[in-house]
Amino acid sequence: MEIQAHIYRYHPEKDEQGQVKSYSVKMEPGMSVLELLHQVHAKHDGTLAYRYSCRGAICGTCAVKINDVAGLACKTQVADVVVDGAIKLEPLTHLGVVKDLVVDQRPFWDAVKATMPWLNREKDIADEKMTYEDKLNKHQLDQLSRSSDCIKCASCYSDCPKVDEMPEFIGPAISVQVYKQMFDPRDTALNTRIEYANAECGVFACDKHATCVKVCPKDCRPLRAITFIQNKIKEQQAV
Amino acid sequence: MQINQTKTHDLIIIGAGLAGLSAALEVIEQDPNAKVAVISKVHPVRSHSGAAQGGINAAIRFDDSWQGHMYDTVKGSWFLADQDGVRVLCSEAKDAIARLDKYGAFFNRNNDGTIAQRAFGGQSRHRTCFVQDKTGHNLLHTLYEQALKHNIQIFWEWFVTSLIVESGQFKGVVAFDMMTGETVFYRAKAVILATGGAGRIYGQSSNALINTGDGMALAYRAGIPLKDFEFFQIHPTGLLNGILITEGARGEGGYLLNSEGERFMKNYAPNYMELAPRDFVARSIHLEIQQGRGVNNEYVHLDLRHLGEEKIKTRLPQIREIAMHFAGVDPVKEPIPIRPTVHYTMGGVDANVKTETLVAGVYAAGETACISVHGANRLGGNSLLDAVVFGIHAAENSLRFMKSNDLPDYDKKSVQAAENDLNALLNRTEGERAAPIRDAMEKTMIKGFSIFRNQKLMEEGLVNIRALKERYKKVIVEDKGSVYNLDLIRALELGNMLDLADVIAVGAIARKESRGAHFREDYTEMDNENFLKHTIVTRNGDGEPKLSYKPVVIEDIEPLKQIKY
Ligand SMILES: Cc1cc2nc3c(=O)[nH]c(=O)nc-3n(C[C@H](O)[C@H](O)[C@H](O)COP(=O)(O)OP(=O)(O)OC[C@H]3O[C@@H](n4cnc5c(N)ncnc54)[C@H](O)[C@@H]3O)c2cc1C
Ligand code: FES
Repeated sequence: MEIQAHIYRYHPEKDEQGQVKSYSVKMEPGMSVLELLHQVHAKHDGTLAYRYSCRGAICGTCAVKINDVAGLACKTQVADVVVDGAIKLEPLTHLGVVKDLVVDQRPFWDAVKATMPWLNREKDIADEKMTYEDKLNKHQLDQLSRSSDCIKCASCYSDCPKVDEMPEFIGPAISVQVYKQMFDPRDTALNTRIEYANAECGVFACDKHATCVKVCPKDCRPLRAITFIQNKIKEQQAV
Repeated sequence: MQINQTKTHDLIIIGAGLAGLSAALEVIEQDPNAKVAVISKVHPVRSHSGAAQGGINAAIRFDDSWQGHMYDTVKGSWFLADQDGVRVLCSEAKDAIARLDKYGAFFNRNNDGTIAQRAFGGQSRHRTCFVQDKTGHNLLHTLYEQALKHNIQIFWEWFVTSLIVESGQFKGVVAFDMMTGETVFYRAKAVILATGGAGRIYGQSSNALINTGDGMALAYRAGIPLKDFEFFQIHPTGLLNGILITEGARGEGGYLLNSEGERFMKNYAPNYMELAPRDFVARSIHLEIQQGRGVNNEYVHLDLRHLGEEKIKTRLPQIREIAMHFAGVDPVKEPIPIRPTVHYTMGGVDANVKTETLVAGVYAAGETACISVHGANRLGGNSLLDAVVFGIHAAENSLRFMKSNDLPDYDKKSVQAAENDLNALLNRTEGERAAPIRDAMEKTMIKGFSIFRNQKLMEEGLVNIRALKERYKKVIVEDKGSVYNLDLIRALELGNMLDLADVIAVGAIARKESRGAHFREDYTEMDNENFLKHTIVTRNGDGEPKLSYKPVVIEDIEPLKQIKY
């Protein structure tokens, strides 16, 4: 079946501003959005730019807006998102467009770094014996595992309505990163982590739209991480 | 593109996967002032290491020993691995795990808090440490976090196009910034190649789309030989589109069933069943399908249902997710359709146990290198270990080299030549685009050089590859811009893969025996008398591959004449 792919195009060396171009593509059974992009690139227009790496939903490289919702191109089946024989592909929001579907991820990675996302432990040695179960409750532990699943695709950051209003808001992905360190029983930098998360544009700025939970391709449940961090901060403040 | 800038470092590490980041961390921990930079064509956490699922091997239990791990590795390699290398790999494995644990990896634990281990193919003990079935993801992110902690300089989305080597001496590398097209000569005393595997040569592969063997091709073109490059591991259990289902799924107890519902491995490897080494299992599956016992004549089933929902959800969550999203089946309720897929590049840049190559100052580690610790067949869980252990060794050895050598002078002409090559490709306006050539290469390689090989098919394959290399000389890039020029990158990657395809073909045709991943229908037996030796392919002056051999390092493990599982 032929479908129409409406793709956002912007070439910084040629175009004043971006525009949507349409390509007709043969939809093969089982075709992913990423495969569709490969087809457009190979058969229609070699100047198309988009990102990819693993094509197996584990590296977080390929996130784009698919019919207005952020998601992984490699994981999304074209057949599942075609509406009236068409599909719309655009770059993620909240990160500047470099070219076509490629956005500037540097600010996002700078924000990751600002959380000091490494394990801080008293003694810099390996654990002979280590258990999580007696240090975290079941829900916290489950959220720790979900937080470490984050592939940093920035889908949640792209679609977070709070970032529209408050561009400095750290956003869901960064909160998930904070959770991962704050709830790691081995970590000893709790105060620094709380200070970071408790800042004006930190976790308490969240309006609980829960868009992040919906768009996350790895089911990391960022809003839950945010809520747990908020509780932890309140708990600490009460002490 | 114009090289109008030179950056100077002591050490360049190309690649930010497990090997590259392990090396960078070791350098910085030993010498916090070292002038080191990492260059990667993707952001570090997008590297292929993140896709590794099953785990990383180390003999850490009281009833295990590194010698046992070494024996299994050497036997699993069909005795082609160099035993000095395997000794280092296995004896340092425990420390490697401790280091990752120290960095903050979330290894699964036993109830008593010690690190848990699962069974993996070809291993006589439960020896594989794991983070659920997302081991690579967790280790890669953990190392990246450490790299941030140490402020390691990483140039990501920079693509390396050539190594500058003049009369056997390393001078630097040429790379361009994918975001801007800015092209830079990175002068350095030493380089570590940590650029990963080349599975994409086959198209049908478990590898990330970026695994195009760039580092191997860079080395080959700079006159450094490639070793045992005909050995590509075929993983028994890929989805129909090539995406991997970890061996851990069988390690946890999964069954392989043919269309008659029979656990057919009992006819091929009755003692090891589903956990025989990969080459055995892959060929068995292929034969089942060939002999008409495949489901829909196309695949077999990997059945996990008897493990129960709880175990599948806690130990193999990602497998469940992958099966649901990429094959449309929930393994709790249905068996997963699988067939063999090209998986791992055993061969690579010829390096010794110190990670040194033929050119002083050029080191190689991880999947791109061939030390060789995997020989003709890699055991699952040994390659993450290889990347970490030899990443560290590459760091130590290159540090030593840096300290005792000055930054060498270089000839502007060789840098100019690299720039000219790039521009010749970019500015060509008449010819064909890369995609059809790439399709043809993938088909040729699958047909001639995958699971079963024979003289006739391989010779036809070689003729095709040579013809494709000719076509490539007139390849055009449609995008003439400098910003994120994907078309240029894909063309450069294709050029790399075509050079490597030629090397595979030459080595495979000459190896008239069957050993591990190299299985020939016309020479079905392993032949130690004539072929217990490493294939070495060097590029001669005319750009043609030149074949020679090198002895295998054998210490105390005597090669067997036959291998049975
Ligand atoms: C699906 C899958 C599952 C696996 N599971 C396991 C497992 O469970 N256990 C195990 O031991 N092994 C496993 N392996 C194998 C293992 O993942 C790899 O061998 C290992 O991760 C390789 O690490 P590396 O650091 O050598 O390379 P990679 O992680 O591939 O990194 C290569 C780096 O080189 C960079 N690079 C490449 N070319 C260029 C260029 N031209 N310019 C600049 N930079 C460049 C890339 O950007 C990247 O950063 C698996 C492999 C696959 C395919
Ligand atoms: S390409 Fe890796 S997540 Fe899509």
